[in-house]
Amino acid sequence: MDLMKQINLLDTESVSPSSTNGSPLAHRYGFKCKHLGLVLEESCGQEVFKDIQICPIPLTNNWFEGVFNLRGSLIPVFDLKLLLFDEKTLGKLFIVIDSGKDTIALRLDYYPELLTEIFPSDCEIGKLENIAVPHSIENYILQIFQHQSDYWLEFDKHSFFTSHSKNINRAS
Amino acid sequence: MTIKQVLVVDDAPVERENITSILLQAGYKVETATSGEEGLNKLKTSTPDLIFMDIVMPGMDGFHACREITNNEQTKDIPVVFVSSKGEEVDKVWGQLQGAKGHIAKPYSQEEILGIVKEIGNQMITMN
Repeated sequence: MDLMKQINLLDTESVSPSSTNGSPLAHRYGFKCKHLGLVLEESCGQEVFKDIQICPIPLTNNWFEGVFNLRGSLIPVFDLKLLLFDEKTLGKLFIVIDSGKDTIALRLDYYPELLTEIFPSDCEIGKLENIAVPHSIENYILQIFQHQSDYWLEFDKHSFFTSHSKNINRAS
Repeated sequence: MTIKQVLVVDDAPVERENITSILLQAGYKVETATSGEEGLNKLKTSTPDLIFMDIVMPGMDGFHACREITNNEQTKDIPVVFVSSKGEEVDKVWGQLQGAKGHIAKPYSQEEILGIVKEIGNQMITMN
């Protein structure tokens, strides 16, 4: 099945660069995926929906929930918690991130958080205390941020989901 | 400080003209922009006391524009009110998280537009 080509996730030309200028940022938005805090890129489009109608795609892995119609564009919907932690996200909120052909939606348990005064951290991914980062996302971490006493990770969504799209077929 | 000048950002000409007309008749000065990007450009040369912002626009949407405004030291104190067909609770909560001071769902009435201008004006007086 060439599904991911249809939803334009396989194009790898537009990998987003990390914002690693080292200066404190006024604020960013992030969401929790189980214990993992994931921060959103400053410039990417972000919109939140509740109870969207998802069209499931047969014979795909359960972490790929299907597609939904966002103002005429078909957007792939993923359950990131299921993909990373094998645990279903029970919330009914969805965040739509990025724009154009890179747009994806992620199911969330809670609203994204406003992270004021977030700072880039020098901490290395393997040395994060009390945070077990799943191997499947480890190589896609662009930057680690610190907000109060918590660490938040910015990951390369495009490369991550492009890579996982190769296993989207349930048989693979 | 009271509200004298308002920036209206909406890609739909009818909506822009409608809000502009309501505000002009009530004695406010009005500037308009047709997209989030144009709205941000206007803020480089003028400082409105209030911004009415549509959400769904081509290019930079209203949420993104509001984030840029509230994240910028020069513009963070300008109140943004969303005026949008996206009027569900989730849109209002997300709008608040972007730093918006209000949310009016389309279709709106003249009273709603002028009411929120007055309300935010009163808040600004209280804060000062």
